[in-house]
Amino acid sequence: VVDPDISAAEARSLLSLPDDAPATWTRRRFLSAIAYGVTGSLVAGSLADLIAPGALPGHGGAARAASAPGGILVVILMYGGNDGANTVVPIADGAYYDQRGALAIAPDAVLPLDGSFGLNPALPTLKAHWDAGRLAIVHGVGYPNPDLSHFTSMGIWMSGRVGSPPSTGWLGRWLDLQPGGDDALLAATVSTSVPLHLVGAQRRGSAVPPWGIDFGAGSDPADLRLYDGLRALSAQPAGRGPWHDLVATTVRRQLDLATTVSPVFSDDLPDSEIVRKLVIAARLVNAGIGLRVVDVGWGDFDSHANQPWMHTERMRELDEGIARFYATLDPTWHDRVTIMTMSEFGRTPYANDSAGTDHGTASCQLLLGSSVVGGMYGEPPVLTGLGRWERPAHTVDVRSYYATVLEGCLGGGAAEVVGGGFPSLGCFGG
Amino acid sequence: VAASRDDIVHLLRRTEFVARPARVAELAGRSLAAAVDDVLDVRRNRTASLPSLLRQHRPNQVWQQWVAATQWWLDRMVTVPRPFHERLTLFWHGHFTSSWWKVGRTDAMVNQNQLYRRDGLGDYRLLAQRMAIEPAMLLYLDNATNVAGDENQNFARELLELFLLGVGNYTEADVETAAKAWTGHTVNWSTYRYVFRRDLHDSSVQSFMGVQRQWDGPALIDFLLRDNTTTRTIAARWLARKLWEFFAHDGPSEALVAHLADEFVASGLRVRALVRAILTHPDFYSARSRTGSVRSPIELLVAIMEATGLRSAQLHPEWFVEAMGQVPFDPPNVSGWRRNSYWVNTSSFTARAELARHVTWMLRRNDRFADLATLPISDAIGRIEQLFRLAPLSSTTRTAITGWMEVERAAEPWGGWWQPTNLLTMAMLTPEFHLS
Repeated sequence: VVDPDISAAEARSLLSLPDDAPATWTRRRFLSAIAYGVTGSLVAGSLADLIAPGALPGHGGAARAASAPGGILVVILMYGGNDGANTVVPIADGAYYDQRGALAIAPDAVLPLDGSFGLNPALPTLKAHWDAGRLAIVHGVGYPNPDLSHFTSMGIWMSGRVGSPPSTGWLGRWLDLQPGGDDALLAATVSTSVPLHLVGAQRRGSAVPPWGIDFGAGSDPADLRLYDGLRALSAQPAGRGPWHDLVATTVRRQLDLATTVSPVFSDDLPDSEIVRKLVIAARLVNAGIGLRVVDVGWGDFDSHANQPWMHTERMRELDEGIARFYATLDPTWHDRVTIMTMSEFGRTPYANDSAGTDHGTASCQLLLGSSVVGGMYGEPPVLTGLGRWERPAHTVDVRSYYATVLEGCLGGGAAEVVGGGFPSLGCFGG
Repeated sequence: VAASRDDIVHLLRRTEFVARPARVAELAGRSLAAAVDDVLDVRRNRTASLPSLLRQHRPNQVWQQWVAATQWWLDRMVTVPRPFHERLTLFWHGHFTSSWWKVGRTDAMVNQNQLYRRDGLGDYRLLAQRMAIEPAMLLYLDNATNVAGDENQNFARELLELFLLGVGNYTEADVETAAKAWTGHTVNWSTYRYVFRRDLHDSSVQSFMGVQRQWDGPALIDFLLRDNTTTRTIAARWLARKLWEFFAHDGPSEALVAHLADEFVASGLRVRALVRAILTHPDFYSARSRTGSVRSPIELLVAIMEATGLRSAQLHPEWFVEAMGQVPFDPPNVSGWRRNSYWVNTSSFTARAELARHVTWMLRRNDRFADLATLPISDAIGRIEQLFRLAPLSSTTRTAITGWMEVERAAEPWGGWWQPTNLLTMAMLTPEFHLS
C-alpha cells in the first residue's frame, strides 16, 4: 500500500510554481539539495560583504524615497513541520517532560523568557530580541480538523484557506489587492520557484534565485548592446494587441530586474541555505526597490528520527540567519521590517521510538521586529491528559495569525484575504 | 470559397503550434471548413508507440522515466503530421490533470496520457468515464483511498468543481453524495490497475441533485452528462468556454459560449464537433483572437525545436520546463495551468531568455546561420523572420532589431562571432515569437 502521505520536500515542490531556475537546475538537484541540506562553515559577517544602501547604482536616496511606504514582511518558512515545543519550551509543564522523555529540553538548559517558557538554547539572537521587547511568540497556531499530511497542511497554511482547494496563497491575494504597478518587485521569494503563498489570482511574486540572475546582468559591451536592442522592442506599442506589448515590456522589466538585483550577489554570500537567503533578503530590502514581502524558506524540519541533532541544527541556522539578516539590514530599514515564521504543523507531544517526533498539529510561531510588541500571545496548547497518539487542539487560528500580520505590517486587507471573523491578535504597537 | 492565407496561418499556429510553410502551402486554396477538417485528421498520425524505457514502471528510475516521457511527448508535438492531436492532448492533460510526483507511477501517468490521445476527440461522456477510473486519477485525487465510512472527497469535489460543472452548480450535499458514490473505485495495490471493490462501496440511498438513488460513480457521470439536461448544458458550456480560451482568447461572450455549447450538445457531446465549431467560428479569426494567446512554455519549446531542427535528445527540454513554469506531467495543482498572464512575468522571462541563450549557443557552429553576420541588415532580418515564422514582424520590432544591428555593426565592423548568435537570441525574444 502506498503511503498516503508524501514527504515535505515533495509537498513543497508540489505547492510551488516552478519558476526562475537556470537551465541546469533540475528538480532532481533541487530535491537533493533539500534532502541533503546545504552545508558549509559560516564565517562571521564582515562589513565587506554587506551591501550599504546607496551603493547600488540607480538606487540612492531618491529611489528609496519613491518606494512605497509601509511595512516590509520577511517570511521564514520552516518546511517539514517545526517542533514548536522544543523551540519555545514549556518548562513549567510536567506533561511536556512526561511525554517527551529524553527529547525534552531541561529547564536549566533553556534561555529563560518567563517562569513558564524558555527558548531553545541554540537561539541566543532571538533571546536578545526578546529582551529588547521585539519578539512576539504566538502560541497554539493551527486550524480546525488538522490534517497530518505535509501536502494538505502546507496547502492550508500557504493558502490561508480551510476546506477549499489551495489554488491561491494568502500573500498572493494580498498582492491582488495592491494598486497597479510593478508587481514583479512587490513580493519576491529567494528561491527557484514561487511558493503558493505568494501566488494570487492575478499577480504573484517573483523568484530571485539564490545565486542571482544571469541574463541581463552581463557587462560585456556586446551584451550591453543586445540589452539595449531588446529594450527597444517595447519602445512603442506595436499595434498587435495587449499581450504583444506586455511581452515586450516584460522583456525590458526582466533586464531591469537582473540589473537591479545583480549587486545583491556581487559579494560573498554565506553557504548555509537559510543564512544565505536571509542575507540576500536583507540586501534586497536595502536595495530600496519597493519590495513589501520577501519570502525565504528551508528545511528539513521533519524530525521523525534523530531529533536532538537535527532540530538543534535547524535552530542554530535560524538564529544565525536572523543575526546575519539584521547585521546586513541597513538601520534605516529596521523600523519597517517584520519577520514572521510559518510551518505546516508542529510535532507530536510524545516522542516516538526513533528519538524523533511525528507530524503534529498546533505549534508556536514567531513575530519579530521593531513595531512588534514583544511578549506571549494566544494560549499554549493543552498537553495534560493527552494519550500516546493524541495531539493538542489549536488555540489560535492561522487566519488570525495572518490577519495580525496583514493589519500590523501590510496595511490591512485581512477581510479580503482570509475572510472576516479572524481577529487580529494585536501583536503590533501603534 | 478559399480561406485567406492569413486565416490558414492563424489556424495552424493555434492548432499545430507553428505554421509550417509546407502545411500553409498544402492548405492554401481550400475552404476554411476543409482546412479545419484536414487539421483534425489525426488518423494520419501513427499510433503513439512508447519508448522502451516507458513500457513499465521502474521504481528506481522514476526521474529517468519522466525525462523519457517528456522528450517523447515534445518530439511528437514537433514531428507528427497532425500536431493538433498533441495540442489537444496537452489540453486534456491540463483539464483532467494529474501529477507524476503525487501519482508516483510511470505506467499510470503514461496510460493517462495515451487515453487523452486516443479518446480526446471523441465522446466526452466516455472520456470522463475513462478518465475517472484511470489509476493516475484514482491516485492523484485520492479516490483510491475513498472507502465507505471513511470518505475522501477530493476526487468527487474536483469532478464537480473543476472537471465537469464549475463552482455554484452543485451543493455541498451533492459533493458528499458524489464522494459516497465513488467509494470502492480504487486500484489493486499490487498491479496498480483499476478495481471496483464492492466491499468498500457505500450502496446506501443518497440524494444527488434532488434525485434519491443508490448512486454509483459512473452512473453519476452518466446522469450529469446524459440524463439530466440541465447539468448536461452546464457541462457543455463549462468545456466550451475552456476549449475556446485554450485555442482562441480569454473571456468569450456568454452568447458565443452558449452557441458553442448548443453545437456540442446537438452532436451528442462529441469533442470533435465542439472543436470544429470553435475553429470555423468567425470570431476565431477576429483581431482579438489573433492577438489573444501567449505561447505556453511547452508551446515555445515546440516552436524552437521546429525552427532550429533541434530535437529533444539534443535540446533537453526537461532542463527548461521547470524554470519556465510548465513541467509536463506535473501541473502546479489540480486546476492545471492557467494561460496568458500566467506566463508573462519577469521570472519566467528570465528562464525564456536563458533558454534562447542556450539554443543560440548550440547553434553557434551551424552553417545555416553563418551568413547572418554578412548579409545586408534587411536580408538578415528577413531570414530570421522566415526561420522563426515571425512574419510579418511589427514595425516596432523591425525598428528595434534594425537599430541594434546598425549599432552592433558600427561597433564591430569586422563582425564578431556573437553577431549571428545575438541576432538569433533577439529573434527568440521578440514578442512575435512568444505569441501563439
